[in-house]
Amino acid sequence: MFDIIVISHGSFSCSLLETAELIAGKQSNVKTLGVDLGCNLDEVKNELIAYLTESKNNNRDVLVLSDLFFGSPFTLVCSLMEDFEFKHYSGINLPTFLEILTQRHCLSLDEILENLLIIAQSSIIDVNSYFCEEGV
Amino acid sequence: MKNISLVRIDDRLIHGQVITAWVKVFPVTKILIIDNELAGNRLMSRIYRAAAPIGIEVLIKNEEDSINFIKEPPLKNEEIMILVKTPQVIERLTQNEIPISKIVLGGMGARDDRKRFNRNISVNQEEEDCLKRMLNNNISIVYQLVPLETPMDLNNIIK
Repeated sequence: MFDIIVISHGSFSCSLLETAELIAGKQSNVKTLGVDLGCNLDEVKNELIAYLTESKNNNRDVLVLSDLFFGSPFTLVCSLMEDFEFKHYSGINLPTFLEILTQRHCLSLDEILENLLIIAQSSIIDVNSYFCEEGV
Repeated sequence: MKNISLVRIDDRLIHGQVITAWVKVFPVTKILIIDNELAGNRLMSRIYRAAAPIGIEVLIKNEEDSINFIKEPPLKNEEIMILVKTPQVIERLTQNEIPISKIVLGGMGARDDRKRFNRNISVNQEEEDCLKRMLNNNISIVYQLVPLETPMDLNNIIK
């Protein structure tokens, strides 16, 4: 099983994991990091480096999930993409995150990533149209 | 001299929705990031250039090149936003005959050597002294994270 690091603005990453655990149960090897207004970005970066180093030492693949394309957590992750080997996907949401968590016990990181974008893109749904088409 | 619409201090430089909000209010054609370290970092330069709002060119230059660039005659319709991480960079512009009348302070993150002014602004002694010198030179400095927020005069924050 591969490692996951979720990094976001504020407490979103932490709440995302907490909420996902309500649905998918307690998770292991998932780390969360939050960037707050006016916080010390170097500290967050050092924590991220520590997590990436730990995974590397354990020979485990890493999936880093950031919340917002070109937000500062995203930029922080990008600044380490030359120094560490990991996969980075941006724009994480609850449905996509749950999909990853529930599949990672049986699939490798590469196998999950094959379909991740399709899953993510179909994770927001126009419910009115859906009901209309279903004749509800 | 180039037309400078906005001078902003924000150590996260271009980040997400914040810069998009500013260019709506100040419709610039170019964002000039002045940062000696970033100018020499190819990966991060690429990321910040890609982060630019649509239709806006991002220039990343060291201080010397920036001073020369700003002193060039403006192109037609060219409006520039200057973005830096620390106040000293702007002071050096003023010391090189580039007139600056107003600075918007957006964000300076916490660090071990810095003390907190407010939630989003922390400064060390050198940075505080620099800001005070610029205030004394009649440069208006306001704290404002996003355009919709009421600007706060730095005189009321630095006591």
